[in-house]
Amino acid sequence: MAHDLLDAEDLQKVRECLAGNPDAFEVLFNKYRGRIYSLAYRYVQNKEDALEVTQDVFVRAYQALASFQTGSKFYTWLYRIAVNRAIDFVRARRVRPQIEMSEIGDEDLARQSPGPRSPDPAKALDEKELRQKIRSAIGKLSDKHRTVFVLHALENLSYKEIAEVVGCSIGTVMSRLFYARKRLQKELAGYVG
Amino acid sequence: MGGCDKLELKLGALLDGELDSQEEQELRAHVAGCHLCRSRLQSFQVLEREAVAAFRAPEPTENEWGRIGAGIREAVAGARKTVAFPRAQRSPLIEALVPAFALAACLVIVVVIGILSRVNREPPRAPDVYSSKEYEIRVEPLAPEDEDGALWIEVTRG
Repeated sequence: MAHDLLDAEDLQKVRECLAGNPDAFEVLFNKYRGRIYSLAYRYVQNKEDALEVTQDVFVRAYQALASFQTGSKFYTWLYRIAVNRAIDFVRARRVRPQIEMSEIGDEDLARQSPGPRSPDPAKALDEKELRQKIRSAIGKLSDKHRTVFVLHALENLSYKEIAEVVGCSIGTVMSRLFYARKRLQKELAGYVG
Repeated sequence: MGGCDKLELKLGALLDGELDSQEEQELRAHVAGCHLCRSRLQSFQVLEREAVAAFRAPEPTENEWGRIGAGIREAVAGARKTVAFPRAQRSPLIEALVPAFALAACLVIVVVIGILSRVNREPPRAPDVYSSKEYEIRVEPLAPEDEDGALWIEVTRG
């Protein structure tokens, strides 16, 4: 029910935007910028590129707004644009995600999250190595398996929402997710699990 | 063991809360008594927890968001200038007349092309004929689509 209300609000903003009110699009941007940035970051794995992808996603969404089918959900439509754009970006720049993030991301995170971190340097190194291994393993998944894993495990989308974003059946989502998990388990044997 | 392998696909769905209540109940009962499935389920849980930790994105600053927002506004303003008359703002009358305008424009183009092609077409050139008592020679240019600038020469005995 709450979801339906949120969807209705989004649709209202889309209509206002199409009627010539650009402020309505700003509301949508402020609402979804964090989620789109976070999704882009999973693919490009550095902050600047993720911000660039985020900007591009919203510009493209604005330009394509007239083609948005009001029967569907705005945020799944936006996610679809974001996934496609992020995949294209990685392909175009041939980013090696696991390397870039290990150099930039962990430092950023260290500054931002003063949470419990291991005081033992050897253990901290292990944690860093583990994260690097995980990123590398996820980076090795095919686009379709990585997308399903990222949308579910990292973005908390339901199978139904993922099916809408990706444009496949719920059964396909389930089997792709299963395959992705099995592949990751295999890649990370000895590190995780 | 074979049964457990078949259930493995559903373990992920159990973890994700995507099973219907009856299936969930049955699978939970199985997992409670099956060491292999329990360990597989735990392994999925650990994997996802670690993946979340590995991919935590650094939060952009307000300045960075401001820059991105400005970039979008600029691009969007450009798009509005390009699309001076967006589809959603057309009045119903104009919407209804668009196909008629398009048809009329096509007809005008066809008529203009027809007229121009008639105006530009050279009249068919009569062959040059050279004759003597014994021979008649007709020299006739070939049609341009056959061979540009070629001539057809026909020699007949008189």
